[in-house]
Amino acid sequence: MTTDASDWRLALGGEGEAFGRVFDRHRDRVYRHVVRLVSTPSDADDAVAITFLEAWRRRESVRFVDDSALPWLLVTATNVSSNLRRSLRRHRALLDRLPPEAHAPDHAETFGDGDAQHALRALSTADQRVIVLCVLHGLSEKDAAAVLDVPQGTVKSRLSRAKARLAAQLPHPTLVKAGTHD
Amino acid sequence: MTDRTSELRHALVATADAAPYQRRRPRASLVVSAIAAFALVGAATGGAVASTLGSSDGPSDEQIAASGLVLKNTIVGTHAQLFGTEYLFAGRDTESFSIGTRPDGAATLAFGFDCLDVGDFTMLIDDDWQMGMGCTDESAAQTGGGGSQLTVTGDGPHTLTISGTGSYIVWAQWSTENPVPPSSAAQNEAMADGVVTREEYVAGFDRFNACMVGAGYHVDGGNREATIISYAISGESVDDGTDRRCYEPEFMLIDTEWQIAHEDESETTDLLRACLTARGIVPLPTRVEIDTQLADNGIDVLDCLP
Repeated sequence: MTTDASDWRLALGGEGEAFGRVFDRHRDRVYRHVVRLVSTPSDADDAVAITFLEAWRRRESVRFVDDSALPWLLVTATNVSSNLRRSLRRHRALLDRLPPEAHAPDHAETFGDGDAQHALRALSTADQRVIVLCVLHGLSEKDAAAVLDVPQGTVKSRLSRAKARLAAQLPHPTLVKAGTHD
Repeated sequence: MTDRTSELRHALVATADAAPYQRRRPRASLVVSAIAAFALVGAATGGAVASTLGSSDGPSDEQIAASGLVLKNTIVGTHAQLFGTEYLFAGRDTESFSIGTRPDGAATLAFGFDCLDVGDFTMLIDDDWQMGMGCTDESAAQTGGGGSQLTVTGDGPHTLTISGTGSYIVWAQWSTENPVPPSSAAQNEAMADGVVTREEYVAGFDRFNACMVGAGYHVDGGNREATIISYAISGESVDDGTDRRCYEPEFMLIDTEWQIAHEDESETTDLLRACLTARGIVPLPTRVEIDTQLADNGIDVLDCLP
């Protein structure tokens, strides 16, 4: 049973299939992540492809948490989604060769404009990163700090700020006082 | 898996399989001293592991195997014939390893060293100093490393000793280097006065390019107007020896001389200067100083290049 970390070393050594195994493990998770951040299914397809292409372009910089590349991929996917137009230019040649995806509606991949999804998109990329890692994917502040290459205290303060901003974006439920009916 | 996902996976695997071999000059910061040539990380091919000694708190078996593949291809490639047992060791601090006796036909010991921690290490065979290597944060983080063809005297059995502090992976196998293709008359003429001119540099690249194309390979890039001609070739051309047969006779001496003389004014160095400036850092004059500034400020070189 190989891990992302061991497969990555093999891929760096020239074994392309090892890179394929990393793709197999995380493609769906990355896709489900980017659909929250982009506008259309085809944009999500492109963001997934670019995330893995960027992973290879920056292959010496990939970080692992407990031998998993997923947190690093999610951060990269967040960055890619925030700069999709610029990222598209870099990898246009390969993306143009890929066949279009036939999208069938899926409740898990609906591109609705739910409040939480809308609020997440409204955050800065820096805030999105810590929300994605610590809230949506449950990483500890320590592990998130390792992925983002910042001190743990920075993650803590960013997370606190991002949560506050996220809360401010969400509509507040109407409070009804008891016993005040006229 | 949908067609698009399948095609994307195929493209990613092919990209990793055919990672182009970017020719780079050995970085002096990594090498304290060495008897023979030192090589940096390159693409790897297959290879059997005959002996693995991993420690419980050291690198995983997969990490050891991956490092061995990279070191073997880096140090040997198609440059030597290999004999007998392939040795692959994981060690920490000062340790000694048995490497047996030299098989008939073998002239040297192909030796590769991948440091996993920062530190200075010394390599000895039968207590005779062979080479030293300094490992930085950057080199410790990479898979693969450097090495050399070591000359071993005496009947044996022989012992390889690594002296230092920190963890590492060692690959070794007895070998005989293939003859080096002789330098062409044109390259010898360009090197005769000790100075490589622009015309000689470009002509050398053109001869190398023509040789590669003649052997059925494409040389990507190759901007002949740039100070340093940047290009990439396929890993396959390195694996089958074509690169060496073309590069060494026609371009290696010229390329090395030119790159050393012009590294401070290369396009890559200009991009790194701009990268520092964009971050509010005033770049220092030389490439060596700029590399240090990037490392000191935690800037990934890949973020500075297009």
